[in-house]
Amino acid sequence: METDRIVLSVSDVRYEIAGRLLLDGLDLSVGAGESVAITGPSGSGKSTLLMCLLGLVRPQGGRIVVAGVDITRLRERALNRHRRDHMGMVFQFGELLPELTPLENTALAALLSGVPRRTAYADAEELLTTLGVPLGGTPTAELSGGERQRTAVARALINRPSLVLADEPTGALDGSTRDEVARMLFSVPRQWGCGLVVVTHDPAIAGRSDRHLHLSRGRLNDAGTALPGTGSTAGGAIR
Amino acid sequence: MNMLATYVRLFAIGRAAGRGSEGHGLRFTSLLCATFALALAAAVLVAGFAVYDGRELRGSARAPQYVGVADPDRAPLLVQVAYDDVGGAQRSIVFVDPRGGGVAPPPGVERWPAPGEAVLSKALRADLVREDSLDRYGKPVGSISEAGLEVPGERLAYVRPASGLLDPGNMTTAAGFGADERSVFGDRESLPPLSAFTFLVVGMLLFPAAVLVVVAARSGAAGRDRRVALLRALGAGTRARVVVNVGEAALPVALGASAAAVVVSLALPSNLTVPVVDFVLPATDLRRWAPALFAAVLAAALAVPAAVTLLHRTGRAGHGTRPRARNRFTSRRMAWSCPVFLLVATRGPDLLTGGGSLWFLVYVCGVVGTLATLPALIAAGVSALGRLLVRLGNRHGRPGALIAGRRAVAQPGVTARLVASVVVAIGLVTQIQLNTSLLNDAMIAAKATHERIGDSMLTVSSAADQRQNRAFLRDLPEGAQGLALEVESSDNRSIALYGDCAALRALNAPCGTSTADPADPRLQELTAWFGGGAADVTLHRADPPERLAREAERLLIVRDGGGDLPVGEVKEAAFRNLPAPQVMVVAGEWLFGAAELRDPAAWTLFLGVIGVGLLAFAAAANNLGDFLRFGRALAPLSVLVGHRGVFYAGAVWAILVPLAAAGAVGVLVSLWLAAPMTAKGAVLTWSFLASLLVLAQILAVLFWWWGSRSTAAQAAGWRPTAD
Repeated sequence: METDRIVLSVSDVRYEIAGRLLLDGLDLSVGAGESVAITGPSGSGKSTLLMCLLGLVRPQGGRIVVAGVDITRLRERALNRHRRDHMGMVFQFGELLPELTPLENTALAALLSGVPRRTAYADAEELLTTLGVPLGGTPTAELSGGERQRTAVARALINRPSLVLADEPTGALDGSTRDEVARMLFSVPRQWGCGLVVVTHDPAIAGRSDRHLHLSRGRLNDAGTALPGTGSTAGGAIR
Repeated sequence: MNMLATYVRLFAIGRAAGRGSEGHGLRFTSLLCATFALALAAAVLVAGFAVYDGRELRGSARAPQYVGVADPDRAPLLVQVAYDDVGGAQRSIVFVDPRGGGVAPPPGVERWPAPGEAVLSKALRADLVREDSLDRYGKPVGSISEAGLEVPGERLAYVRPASGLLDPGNMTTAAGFGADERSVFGDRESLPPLSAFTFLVVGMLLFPAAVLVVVAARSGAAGRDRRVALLRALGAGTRARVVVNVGEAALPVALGASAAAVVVSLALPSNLTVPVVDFVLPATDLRRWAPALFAAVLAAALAVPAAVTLLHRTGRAGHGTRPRARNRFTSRRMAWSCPVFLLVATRGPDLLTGGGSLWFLVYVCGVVGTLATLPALIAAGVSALGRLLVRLGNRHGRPGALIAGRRAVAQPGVTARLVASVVVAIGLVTQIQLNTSLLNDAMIAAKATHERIGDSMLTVSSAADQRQNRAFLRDLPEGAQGLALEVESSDNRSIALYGDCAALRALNAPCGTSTADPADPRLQELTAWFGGGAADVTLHRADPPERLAREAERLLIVRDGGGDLPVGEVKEAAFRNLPAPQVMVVAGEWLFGAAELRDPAAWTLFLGVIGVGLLAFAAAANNLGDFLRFGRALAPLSVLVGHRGVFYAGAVWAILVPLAAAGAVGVLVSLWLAAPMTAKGAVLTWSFLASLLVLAQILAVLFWWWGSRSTAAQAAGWRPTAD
């Protein structure tokens, strides 16, 4: 595990809106090859945290460093570029285009990033094969839930991001599919050398991560999950 | 009071919900435009009634009160209605001779003209000036004011014959002006009847506006339907749900209705000229009907919220990712039937000799079948083009083409509906325009005659005596010669022309009795129209006025050496010397008939282009709503990769190309379908087709820009929802 390379460092982030303090001096760091799960009750600020990590909203205080660059200081165009080059995201419902094939959905993210056509399709094919998604002319809408989420993961990885964010990635799946997708998802950091942050309501899913943090009162707290085989918690400070 | 406060609150909730809903911008604009279009269409219909009502009033006020008097010399007033060709159309010339001092002049005329004077309407005066013939009917004095005209742009003249040109035997006795029945003179023949106008407005304005209302009311329906279902689940009654829906639609409807009211108001203070048809709207009639005009606007403003309320569906599921099943719209059988019907329409009539009702039946069946099956063919075409786009998108790495192509293959109905709506609308409007302009066989022949011989031969009819005819012939412009025309009444197979040597030489005949040169095109046309096509034409040296006093019916005026006559000068000579003369080109009465179709055709063109525009707008707005839904699906990815250009590229294939192509295909199909009708004499003007084509292109660009910007802005506002 390459925790010596930090892909995400959140320092003393503060976010307030309409008189409500949602994030209150929050710290978080994630290393390459590491997975972190964040749970918390509804309204605890998980969405806000995701939006801050993506750079869609700017916190009133603190720093967010992704792949060595403080995104809170970037202008819009540079931020778009940095997000495209270093972040991927997996959504609860996949947010794939139902009419496109899995190959097309995956390659689309690369094409929109300016990757040459041959490379985009070749990389997409490799990713989908590795993740066990059938290649063919079947529209994504006609795949199973598990296959759709694998495709969504492939799309998130196509641009070789440093950091992958997942927003309730198993929330729309049933029992065995959920486990299968979770197993696949949490293998991504080690396999692809990126960091993974999963936001979820499901403690069972969160328990698969290297670290399980709980968001409450604007702060992240250890939910009691230690790293397997080390006996210590990894990464940066948690308040 | 509590109830009122509750409804006010619900109204406010509706407004707030609308602002925050999906596709708010599209829905707002669509409702505003739909209300404006519906209100204006309703106002146009009412304005039509107002104008026709005004025509009845003024037409009745100037109608002569005909009375039976044994001795015409004792009649208070003599009236004779005649016609003259001015500006290519037949215009009314009313000869009047007041006998008693107590008879008031006709409405709109300040004082009686003196003998040899004429009072002209402004429009007729302008036409005569253009023909350099202002004093054709006599010395022009004063103008007929609007109170004496059925519509401000009417062409009309009151002429008091000069002494010596009065013909009491051919004039009708009257006691004055003002009767229950409208006057028979004026431009009434050139304006369509009220029923035809109503049909045009309902079909070309109200119906398309209603379609736009339906599309606007269903725009963004998914969210609204969910909201209504939620309100019902919470126990809200019908009235409460209605108030919420009305609250959402209130602002755009109010703005649209206000804009229409402003447009209506602009027409009230003074006359406005309607472009294209060049019709002057009488402000007095509109002011008299002002309450009805604004009531029409208000009715439209109430109809739109009613449509919004009535056109919701409950229990509708949220969006799914599975493609919709194909339906009859995309039926293969229907698609293959379309070329067959097209063949029936364009070639079927050729198999039938002559014309008649069977010809029209075959043609109409072909046209109706083509337009009914065209949507299925278009859907098949959209699918095929979609597959091509997918191949291109994959081959060249073009995301916009790839996405649009896949959508077209999965849901061809979306694009097909857009294209089919525009194509069928253009096809229908073109058919109406063709029918409106259809000339009968005689009109076609008359136009062909005029194209062959122009103004080289004129006929002159009047009740003149020999002295008057002689004076007219002496007064003809230089180079013009007159002959008396006599048609053998027993068999219509012989025509005799009587003239002096100069007149005979003008027809390349010797000075004596001879048979006419069969190669002379003028005499060929004379034979065709007066002799049944197979008559012999003989020429005789004789005195034309003397022959007119005996058997001959009219004078024929020709020019030395052939060539066109100076028609204006001939007419001036006729009106100077003959009582109530009628001067026409050969077959002129049929040319008048053809000319009378010009105005209805212009109205069809004008209203048709607007109607097609409204339908195309509605179809494009519907398509845009679907594109916005697509935009929402793509928003997360576009935000993550920082790429908004895909929306612009996608909109090119999803909106711009289909709408632009629809205009071109519509014009092409209309041209094909029009061929049999144009061969029969119907007129399809290129300006009409060009207007429709340009309109489609403008809408294509406009909606492409709107769709691209809306989806890009929508994507910019996307946020993940982890809770």
